[in-house]
Amino acid sequence: MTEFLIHNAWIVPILPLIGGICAAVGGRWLKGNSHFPVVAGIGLAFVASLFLLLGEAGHAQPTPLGWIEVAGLTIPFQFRVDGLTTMMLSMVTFVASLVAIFASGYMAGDPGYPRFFAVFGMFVSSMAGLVLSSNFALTYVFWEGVGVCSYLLVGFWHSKPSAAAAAKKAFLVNRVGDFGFAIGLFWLWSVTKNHDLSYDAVFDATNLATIGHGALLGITLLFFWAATAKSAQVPLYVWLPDAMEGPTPVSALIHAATMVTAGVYLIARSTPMVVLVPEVQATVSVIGCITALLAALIALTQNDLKRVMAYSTVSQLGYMFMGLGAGIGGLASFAVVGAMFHLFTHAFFKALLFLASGSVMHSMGGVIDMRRFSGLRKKMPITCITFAIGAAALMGIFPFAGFWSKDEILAALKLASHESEGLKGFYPEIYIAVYWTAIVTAALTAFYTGRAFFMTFWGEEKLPSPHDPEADPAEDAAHGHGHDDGHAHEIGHESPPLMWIPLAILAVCAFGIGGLLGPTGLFAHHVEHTPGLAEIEGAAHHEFDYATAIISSAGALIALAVSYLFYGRKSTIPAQLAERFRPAYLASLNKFYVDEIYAMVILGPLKFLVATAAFFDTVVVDNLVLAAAWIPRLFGRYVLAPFQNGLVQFYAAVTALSVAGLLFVFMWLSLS
Amino acid sequence: MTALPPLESAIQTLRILLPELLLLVVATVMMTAGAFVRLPRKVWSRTSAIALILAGLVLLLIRNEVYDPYQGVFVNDAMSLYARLLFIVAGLIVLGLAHDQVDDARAAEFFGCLLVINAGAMLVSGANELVFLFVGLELVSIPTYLLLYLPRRTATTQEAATKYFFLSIFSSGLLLFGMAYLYGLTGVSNLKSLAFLSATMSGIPQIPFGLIALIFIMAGLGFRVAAVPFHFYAPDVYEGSPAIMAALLAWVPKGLGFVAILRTLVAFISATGAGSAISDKAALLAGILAVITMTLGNTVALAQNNLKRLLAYSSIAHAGYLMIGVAVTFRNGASGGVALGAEGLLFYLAAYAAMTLGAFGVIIAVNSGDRAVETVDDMAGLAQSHRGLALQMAICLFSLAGIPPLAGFVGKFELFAAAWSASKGEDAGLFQLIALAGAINSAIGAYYYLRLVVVMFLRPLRGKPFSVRMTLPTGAAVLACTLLTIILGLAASPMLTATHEAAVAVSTLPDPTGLENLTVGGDPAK
Repeated sequence: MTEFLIHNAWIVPILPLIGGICAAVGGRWLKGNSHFPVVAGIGLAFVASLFLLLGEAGHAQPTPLGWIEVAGLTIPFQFRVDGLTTMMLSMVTFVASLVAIFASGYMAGDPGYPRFFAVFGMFVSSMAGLVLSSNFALTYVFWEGVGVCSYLLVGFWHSKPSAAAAAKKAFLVNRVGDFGFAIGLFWLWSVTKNHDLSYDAVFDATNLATIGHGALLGITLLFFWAATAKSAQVPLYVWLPDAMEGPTPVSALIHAATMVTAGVYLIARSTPMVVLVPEVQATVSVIGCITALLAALIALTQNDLKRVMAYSTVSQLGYMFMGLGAGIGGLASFAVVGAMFHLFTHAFFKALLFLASGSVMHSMGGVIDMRRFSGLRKKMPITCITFAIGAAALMGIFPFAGFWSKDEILAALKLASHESEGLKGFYPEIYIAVYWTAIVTAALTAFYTGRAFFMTFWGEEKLPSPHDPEADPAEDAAHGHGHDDGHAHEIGHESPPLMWIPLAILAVCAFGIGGLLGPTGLFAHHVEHTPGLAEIEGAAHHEFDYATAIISSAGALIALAVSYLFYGRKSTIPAQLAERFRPAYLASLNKFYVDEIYAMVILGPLKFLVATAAFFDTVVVDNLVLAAAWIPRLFGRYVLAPFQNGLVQFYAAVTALSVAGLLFVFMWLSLS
Repeated sequence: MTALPPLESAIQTLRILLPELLLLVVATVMMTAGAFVRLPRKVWSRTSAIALILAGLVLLLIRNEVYDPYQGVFVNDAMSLYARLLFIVAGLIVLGLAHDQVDDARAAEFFGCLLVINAGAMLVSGANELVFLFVGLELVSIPTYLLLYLPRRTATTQEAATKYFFLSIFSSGLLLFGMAYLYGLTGVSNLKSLAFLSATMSGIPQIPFGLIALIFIMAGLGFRVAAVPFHFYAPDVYEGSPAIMAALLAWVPKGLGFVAILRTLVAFISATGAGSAISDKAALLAGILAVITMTLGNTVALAQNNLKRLLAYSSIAHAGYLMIGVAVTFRNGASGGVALGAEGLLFYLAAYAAMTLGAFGVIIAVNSGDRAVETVDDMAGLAQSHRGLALQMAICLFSLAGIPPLAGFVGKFELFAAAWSASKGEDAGLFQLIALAGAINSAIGAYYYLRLVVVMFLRPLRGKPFSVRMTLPTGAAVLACTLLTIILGLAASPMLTATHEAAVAVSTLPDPTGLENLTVGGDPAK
């Protein structure tokens, strides 16, 4: 069975796709049961992934199937089964199946129910294909597939202007990144041996040696550019917070398992290339660090529960990139494994947090503004406990999952500052700055997570009512459309089992999976067995870094305590602080005006360019085209058509004269 | 290879001519019987269809029969197989479109003529003898006159038939004159021997005589394919005849003419080798004809409003595209660049058959009721009432305009690529010019095809609603055309392999063992 699956790994992405197609084609008849084929497809894909995970992983097993074969370009449908792939695949399919089950309860009664599950299946399929692919070109195909599906899902309620705008934003920002990926691919294609874009060929040591430092620098930077868009890093992170306009299960999927992990995966996969250019590694770390800090600062003041979670995702992705960038020299394997471990644990606790937020939102009748409800711990005990577990994991509190993975990244950063001492430039200083920023960010994370938890579940019980000062009547109506059609339930109750069972499963993972796989070395051992990673020198294990663990845990616990003081009880401190530091508060609340700055700096000139082009098009090009269309027409009508006079003797005469003329000309040509 | 005794050689020839003989026998029986018994037209059309299918099966059975090409009147090579199959498949499609276009009284003659036309076209496909080829051509022409006269409905129909008759006879005269010169030059009428002689004699001894033969034959066959300046009949005759006859005229003579050009001229001219005096002149001649033909066809088509006239000019324009293939083949033969001229030509012929017959099929279908559809504007609003039909028409039109990924695009691409890869050496400029002219012309041509699509899909219905009586054979024929247009575009490689083999077969000489005694003016039989 395992052997069969390894040789036919294409089964994993095909299963959700079949489910999606069934939902799309049969949606008319399946109606409210449209989730069955998709849940079954993803579930089976998870089972297959488990076989792959536990089976003989660790070595590549390409299963080629011809696809594009043009002169000089051969792209087979080539999959691989190795440590990194099986880890990603199991995580993606596991989280996706839980989210799909949750969604079948959450989305019940929505008129677009079959459409939702059809795209959902395709989304998971694209992501599975992305991590299975063994060829950069094929990876790009699935990369685009993920982008398209995310567009469709974020804009699922496309009649809602904000959702349509968010979908467009997500798609366009991702296009900016895809552009970088494409250019990087072209470049790689032109320098690599035999123009072979398969991983094995590209990562071959002799091949990498022939490419040259400059080209590698360019290519890896372009790949990182692509990753910043997909994985929401500065400066292209702006789409992700808006992407929660989609249904909450979609947010959970995008933020946890699929989509945003794609960029991290791409850089992790390209490690053999990235490790050769320390400049890029430092860039990756610094960008990740800036992103983590910026997003954490924004998350401090947001009032929308899902938005807090969204910024925390951006921030945590920043951590992953910090880790990916810390793989200086012999550290590469340790750092990349650390980053991937954080990606792994983050998938569970972030999916949990989003689904729990979704559960709250579902129960609150579509309201997600934390000022409008509080003290829900009695009404929704299961949601409260599971959210608390997820929050603890996110804060990095011992022994929850996030603690282990975040700690590995911090340790890697600290080691990187030692390791890079031999290098020319300011590498040690950079890495130590990143390290301390990361610890500060960890404290900030604990604070805003605690704030969200206490505002939602602590304090006196309060349910949203239309008379809240924050209530927006239009928004209310819009939300109501999406979530509650056919759901004539009252506000403020625990969600149905279909929704809380996935929460419970995820909570168990968020609690235990870090301690189970991290300190025991199971995860590292599995992922290190990835061709490309294994060959990097000095892939040795490192000691657990107690100092870092203690510092970061202490910071997190203090921040948590502060957040309880501020929000766990009635307190005027936050309001006073906001008043005192009003400019800083407003800047954070308005997300540091990044969207506005983009609108001014990038969109403004672009709009001007567009207007100019439109003017040029209508005035100059259109008239040119019209002229070009009219000249042959006039020529045909007034010069050539009169010859067609209907007289047969005239036709014969012209024919005879033409023959004579041709004869004359050709005779003359051949004699002269 | 030693010469076979006459009887045996005759039997061998008859064996490879079995499909044509079958068609001719069935046609003769039908036309004779039709004079005595009165049967409904579906009997005759079904008999014809069965005869065509049988002929196709027989053709596949005998496809491996080989016969000395330097003796026989007919060669059974890859080219012959490809062209004959093409004519049979297209013949079935025409039959599907024609099955209800004639009344019972004339059905026997009508379908008999269709079969004879098919047999004639298939004879030309493998003809290896000047006289035999001419017989094949006339076997197509004479039933065509009959078919044009059969309706005898109005003065315009008769005018169209008369015009076609006179001009066709005139062109046959030109063709015969050219053939006579070709024979006079070498003294042989076997085409392969003729090619062999022109190759071994390092060119034709008398270049001017060779030119006379070339120009007259091109003029005679240029009439069939409706190349400028021998195209005048096409718009008048298409407009004056019933749509089914226009469809027949748009396809059969064109396919036939190009196959005949390949058979008579290509072997003989390209055998002289690239760069020889006659091959350069021939390439120049075909190139000039190609550019003039497609430019005139496309520009005049822009000003047309009558559907059949529009398609007539479109068929003229396509003769120009196809002529590019002839020019490249004259220049390079089976050697040269990545793409062979004859390969592109043969592929484009198949594509052209599918898309043009499909377009005409839709016009026949929308004319099947009492509402006459004559002009482009009459097509307005077709998409609202008959979405499927309009969609199929649009696919054929997109393909005619050369829009990927349809058959017309692949064909044009092959032809232009062949011209581009031929642009080497002295007259490189000529072929670059041809390729460029082809590309510009496709852009011009797109206008009037897309105009028709716009009218069908975006304009509201004008006047009476469409009355369409869709019968199964017509629907199947149109659908077959649409599907072929799509398939030939999406999965072109099997077809390109076949056309490549055919192109190589037609433009190379078989191993000429035992022909040492062949001399200019001598008799090959001696």
